[in-house]
Amino acid sequence: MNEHDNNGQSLKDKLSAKMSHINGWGVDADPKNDPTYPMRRRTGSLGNAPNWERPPQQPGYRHILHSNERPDVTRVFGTSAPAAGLSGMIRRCAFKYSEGRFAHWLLLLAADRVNMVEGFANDVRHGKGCHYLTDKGIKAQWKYDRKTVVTKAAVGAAVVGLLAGICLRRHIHIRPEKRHFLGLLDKHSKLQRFIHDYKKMMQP
Amino acid sequence: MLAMNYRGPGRVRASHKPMPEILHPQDAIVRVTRSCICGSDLHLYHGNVPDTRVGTTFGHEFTGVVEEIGSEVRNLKVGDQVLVPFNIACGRCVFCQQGLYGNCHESNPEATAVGGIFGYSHTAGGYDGGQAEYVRVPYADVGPTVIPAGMDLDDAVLLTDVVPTGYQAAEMGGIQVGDTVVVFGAGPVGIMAAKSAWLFGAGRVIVIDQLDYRLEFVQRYAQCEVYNFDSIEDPVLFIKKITDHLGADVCIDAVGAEAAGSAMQTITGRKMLLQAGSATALQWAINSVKKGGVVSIVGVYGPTGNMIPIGNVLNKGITIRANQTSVKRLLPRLIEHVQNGVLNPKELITHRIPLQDVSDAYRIFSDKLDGCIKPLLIT
Repeated sequence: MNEHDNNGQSLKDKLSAKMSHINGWGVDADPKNDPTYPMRRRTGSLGNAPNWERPPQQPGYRHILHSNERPDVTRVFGTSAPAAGLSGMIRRCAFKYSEGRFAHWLLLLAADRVNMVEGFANDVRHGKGCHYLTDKGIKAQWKYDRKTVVTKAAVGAAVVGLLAGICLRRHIHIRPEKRHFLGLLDKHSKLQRFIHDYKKMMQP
Repeated sequence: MLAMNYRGPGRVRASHKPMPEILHPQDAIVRVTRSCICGSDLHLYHGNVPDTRVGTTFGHEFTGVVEEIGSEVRNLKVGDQVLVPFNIACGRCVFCQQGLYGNCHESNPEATAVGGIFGYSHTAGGYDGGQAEYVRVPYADVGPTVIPAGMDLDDAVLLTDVVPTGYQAAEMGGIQVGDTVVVFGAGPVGIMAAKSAWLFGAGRVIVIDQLDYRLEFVQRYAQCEVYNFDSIEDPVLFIKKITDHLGADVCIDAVGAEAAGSAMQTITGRKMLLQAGSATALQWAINSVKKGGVVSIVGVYGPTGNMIPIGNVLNKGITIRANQTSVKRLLPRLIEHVQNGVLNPKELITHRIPLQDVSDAYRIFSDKLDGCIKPLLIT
């Protein structure tokens, strides 16, 4: 009999008196029928209550978001990127829902995307916006997979060109009063100046 | 100090961050000597794991030298060379006491379903990871293990996740002598799962993947049968045909959320994020295992839900076993295997890239460029 069987047997002995009012309690109990072993090593002394001696609490826990499925913050936690800004507000909202709710995870994913924009804006503010392509590992991709880089660049250029063409065409052919109505016209906008110059240039 | 810095999906860089500090009496500060990029880091890199915040440092596979210890640390001393399991475990909670170090209840405030993991988003506790020059290691008396004298650091760093995860995948399969085992995925974990399946007495080991260079590697490294699913119209039917139309005794999902092979799964799971990743490998595993067989899952999925044929699990009487790896529980046995030459994990490392080029390292690994199997970051 191994340690596993011993634990099962001792627990059975402990409980048999307590459960004696149930006819047949434990007659088919088989400690070997445990698909969780050895992932989970039960010992008779353990219950499910969180009654272990908890380690000391890491300071600064009051600002840490925690799952509402647990009573408090764990005794240690990470401090890599505290929730802040708009994404932080969304994250705080997400933690009002339990882990079993889609709202919890979808709000966190939404916060991640907002956080990405916040991060990029921060990069631009600190003059690191130009790192965008190097952050994507463009150097390695150019070295080992030039075809993909060229294809992506060509598709990107085509899409940008197409959109620019559509915008320009739209703005040139819409009557000025209609453009104004649509809110597309700003007296001081560069676009308006550009259209004006373009029209002037095209006049015979 | 220099550290990997996540900037958004598909974008990372090496940048300077403040040095980590002792924040708890059971913490240690470790100077990193080796760190790897794991396949599951790519889920973070692609923005698929909720609560992955800009500015976080990834990395849950690392070795290092203890630089500083908290006032309550007893088992480590400054200068010790340690390998650090990817799980952060208190060693005291009801789960740690049962050997479930991957399910610690005192290391992750943000989610109860998963224990704390180094550098794996705030969903796994918000800890900075080891793809940096220095890292804070909580509960330093529990996880970190002094590297035995003479052990190669490249072997040691793979004992923090890849080797134990592959081994536990085989262990959870409950492999009996002579069993046929199918491993989906020839990434580092799949390779180790195939290798470990033999240690449990498998009679036949089959690996399925899409990349020929990885299949060639695993065929040589783990002496197994390999098949490229791109050249097979229906992988499930194919496995049935090569197993007397009964199916495999054990199927291992060593792929997880970014599996290829099904347009429906890819679009809904990876592109639109309507499910917690693409569950193609798991779907194949459930459908190609024998009735009454075992499906072992070590591939990582997100926390929401996936499209899998759960009806077939019932109808076929399949046992599904899955867990984050309990590295600490397995380490003594695996260190023995490495020291005896039964396992030689360092052969998996194909790329050594300086930490400052981390953005290129992620691109190479993510896009499977230059025959990459396992990239190691040098600090």
